Amino acid sequence: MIAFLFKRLVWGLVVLIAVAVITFFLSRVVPADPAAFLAGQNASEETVQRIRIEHGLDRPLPEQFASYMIGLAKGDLGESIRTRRSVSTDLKQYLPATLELLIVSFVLYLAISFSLAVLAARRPGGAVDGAIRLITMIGTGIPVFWLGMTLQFFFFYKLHWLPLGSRFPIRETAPPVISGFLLIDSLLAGSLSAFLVSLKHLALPAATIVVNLLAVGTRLSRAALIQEQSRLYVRTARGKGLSPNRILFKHILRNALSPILTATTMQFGYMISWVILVEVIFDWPGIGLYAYQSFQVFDYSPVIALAIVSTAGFVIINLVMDLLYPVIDPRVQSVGS
Amino acid sequence: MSISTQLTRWTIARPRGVLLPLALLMVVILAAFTLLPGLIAPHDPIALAMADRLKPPSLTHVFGTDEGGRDVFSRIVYGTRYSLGVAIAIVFASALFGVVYGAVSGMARQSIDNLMMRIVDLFFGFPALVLALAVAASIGRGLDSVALSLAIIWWPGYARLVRGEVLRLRERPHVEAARALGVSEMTILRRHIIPFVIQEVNVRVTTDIGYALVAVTALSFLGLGANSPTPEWGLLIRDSRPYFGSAWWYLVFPGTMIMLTATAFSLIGDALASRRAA
Repeated sequence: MIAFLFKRLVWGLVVLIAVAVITFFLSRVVPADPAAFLAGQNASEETVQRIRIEHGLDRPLPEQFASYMIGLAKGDLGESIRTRRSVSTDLKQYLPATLELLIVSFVLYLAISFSLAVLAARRPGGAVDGAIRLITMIGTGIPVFWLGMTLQFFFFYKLHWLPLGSRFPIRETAPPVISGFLLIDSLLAGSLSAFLVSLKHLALPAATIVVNLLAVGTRLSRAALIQEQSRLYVRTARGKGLSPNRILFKHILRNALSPILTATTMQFGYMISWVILVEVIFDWPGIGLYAYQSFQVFDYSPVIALAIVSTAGFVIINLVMDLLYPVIDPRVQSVGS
Repeated sequence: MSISTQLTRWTIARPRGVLLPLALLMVVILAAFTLLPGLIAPHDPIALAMADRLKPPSLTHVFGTDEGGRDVFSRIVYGTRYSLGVAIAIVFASALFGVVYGAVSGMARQSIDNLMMRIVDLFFGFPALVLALAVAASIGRGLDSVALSLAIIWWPGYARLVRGEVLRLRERPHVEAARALGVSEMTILRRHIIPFVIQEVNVRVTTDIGYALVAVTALSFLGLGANSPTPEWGLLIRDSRPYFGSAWWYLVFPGTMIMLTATAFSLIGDALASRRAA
């Protein structure tokens, strides 16, 4: 078990180093003039020269790589030309918004995809199964950005039920920042109205992400459930006269959980990607919108930082999932070590 | 990764009876859009006609007009070349590279195979689209950089698929027989393994075209792909953003086009897969 975890930990580190090598390559080797790249489009020749010396871009590549890696290890992600602050300071400000959106969407996604899979697996090939299949198939083909805009069209322009975008109305006073999560902070401040307002702002972005993840997630969960259902132990349980719900929750679920978990981990990777698009559409002040606004004005350090930070997040999620496997399925322990 | 791909496929005989012909029809329409846009599009996709600005759908402009008075339908027709063309190019390039990489890895000594597969595993450790975004942003804007950056994140899927198939096929009796007859490894690969692998790759390519289309239009939507006034579908949706509250047609038709195209390819991929399984 320990050996297995150690292996996963080392692998996580390898992934992080790889992404650092790739981003170094992207920011220092791919552009014809990396100093001009860092300085932005409208920088004067003096600025470019100053940046070249400041960032050590006049030194040989191996030396640059070494200082780049040391900087990364210290959490130095470069500077943003647009905000004139260090990228890591900016990220700290924008990260909670992204995390709140990700977590809420993820919980919703798990609950809904699982319920749909249970419904579909109850009678494979039946009408309910077919309907869910068609919905999920269309779901995979909907471009996430287009779905977001379509929801805005209906729920804002037509129905006037939900806000167009942003996280909190500018005119109202936001609750004091404690956790950085508006839903939690507004409750801590005892303001129910702030909580509801935050929830309203969260509804459409979260729905957009959930619909897009649902397709693949439901497919995989359904497949895992059906596979388990055909096992002999399920037949035995049925023969004993156990209720279908008991068989599902006590027997099938435990065994189907680990493939579902694997699928979920992979889904998280997509989710990190989609969240950028969703933030752009809904003007959600997270790290995706931050990176987007930066590269619109040819400020690239935030984009590269986003790649590093989201990979780190993905690595952590993978590690957590690895830790969960032996908990939900004791058989994994022996395989792991 | 413990669920086999076979199991994740979700095919029901009945609805496919209606859906598959529709999907094939969609592909024929798309082919016509790509090859003969001039014959199908009723208007010029680029020339401005400010008098017709943001007109709702009518008989002259079936999908309405955009902020420059251009016919949205004509822009969609001409845009097929860019959006679908780039998506197909990405998938074909990735498949080609992935087949070669996967075949080499599957036939190589175990140490080399291990190393080659670790490299592939690395790509699954990144959030793919974010990586593509960073690559596209640093190469510079344009559909070519979108194509390159997506191909970079796309090929590992094929490498993994092909290597698995090669390992499986290597143990098959017909390959053993060929080996016993003294046929060289290269010939075995070419004549007795690759033809089978290709069938599996075809299924994946078909489905992937739809996903690639969504990815291409997403990067274009973010402003990394084509530049105005290229009628690329993702860019059309990006351009529609300031107006879509009042001009619904400008948003609805390009998006529906992406959705129908992606769904058509995934239905055909599904059908190919179940025919292989049968």
